[in-house]
Amino acid sequence: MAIFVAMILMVYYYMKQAKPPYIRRVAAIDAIEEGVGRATELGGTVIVSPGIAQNGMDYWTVAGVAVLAHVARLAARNDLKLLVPLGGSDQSYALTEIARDVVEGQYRLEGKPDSFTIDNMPFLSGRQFAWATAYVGMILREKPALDVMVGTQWATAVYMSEVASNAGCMQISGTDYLSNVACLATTSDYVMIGEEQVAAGAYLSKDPVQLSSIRTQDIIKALLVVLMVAGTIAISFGSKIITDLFAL
Amino acid sequence: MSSIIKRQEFLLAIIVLCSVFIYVPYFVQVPAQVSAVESWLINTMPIISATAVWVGFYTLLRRQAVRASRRVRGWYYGLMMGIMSLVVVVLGFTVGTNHDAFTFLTNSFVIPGDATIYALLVFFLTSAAARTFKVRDIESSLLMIAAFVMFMYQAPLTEYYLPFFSQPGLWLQNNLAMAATRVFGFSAALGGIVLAIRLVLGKEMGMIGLIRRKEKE
Repeated sequence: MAIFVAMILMVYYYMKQAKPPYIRRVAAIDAIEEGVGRATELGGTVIVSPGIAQNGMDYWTVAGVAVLAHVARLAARNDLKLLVPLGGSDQSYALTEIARDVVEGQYRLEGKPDSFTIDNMPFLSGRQFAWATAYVGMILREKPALDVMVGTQWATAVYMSEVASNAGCMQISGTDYLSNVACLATTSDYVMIGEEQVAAGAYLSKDPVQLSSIRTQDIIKALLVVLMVAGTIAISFGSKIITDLFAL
Repeated sequence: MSSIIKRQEFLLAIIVLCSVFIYVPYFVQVPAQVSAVESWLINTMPIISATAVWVGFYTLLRRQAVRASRRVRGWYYGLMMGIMSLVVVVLGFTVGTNHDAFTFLTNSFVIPGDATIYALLVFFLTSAAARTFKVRDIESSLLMIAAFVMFMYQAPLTEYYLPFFSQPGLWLQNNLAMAATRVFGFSAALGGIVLAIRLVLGKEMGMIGLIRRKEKE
């Protein structure tokens, strides 16, 4: 609760600053534009998965939808075919409708509402493996130039990304499942690690208010690192001052 | 009325209200009425999800019907899937999910299909790992050595016959891997909190289908 309140206050403080805060570059997010550019040159297709939403509309899925919105806008701008195969879990039905609404919104935003095709955003299956197989089938048939997999991606992620990699796609991935990050690193050109994906929406918006929230996050993270190091040193010398502080 | 519902302020107000009713009782003792609202909100979520299932089912059937009517490549697979989906739904409603016919469909089609894909993952992981663990520089060499040690420690046969891999394997697992896991956990949790703040501030509205008109302007 204290961290939450502190973060709100810090975000508010940075919002009031005239200059937008410095945010380090995130290669995986920057690479999306590069991938869309590559797809445009090749006259190819872009395929995106905002995740399987295994836990419903949790923050990973919200972040996945933010990335989907960005790719959809770029695809609309460059007249690319955008495929968004949806499904993968019992909770993915709600995401399906939200994702369609978001993508349609981005096409309208780019002044190309007629280019939006709902058939390119099919709901494939509520089961993860069936959905992944159909997703892979679409990759093999369409041979997309860019495959972006974000949000909640579980066991099937490596299967899909490996097939995409073999099919010649540029692969950008992110997941909430830590063990999968290592697997995706072996198959992807770029991987979003940890909070990079969650911060994607704010990072892409270039909005000073949203960037402030990332800056705040980095500061809190630095403070936690300092506390962890101090705690390790303290406990190594027999002092429980730091652990007692958090035992309150 | 519809114009009010579509307004950003209206949707933002709903988000803030729901967040407050769910978030505050988690930390603070609140009156029973507020707890009742919290419980109602949490209990409503499965109902919304269940409703969405039917929307998904309808769109799936519709897509397969369109594919079949247009005779696109592989339309008969879609048709088969649509028919099977309908059969499962009808069986579930009429004879129940414990009936032999229903369990036959699950055990004969769904579970073997899942198992097949799961087994395939091993091959994809192997081919990806073979590409990655090529020794190109110091970093990839370290990665390969660590992977080799972990592999020898985790595989049952080598764990039994070459027990000296246990010690470095355990050290890697309990120190390096654990530290990395916790860093990931911390950063992800912080990211989640910050995302929640952005949502409450109305800055992450894309998820509820709102167009960011201001950015366009």
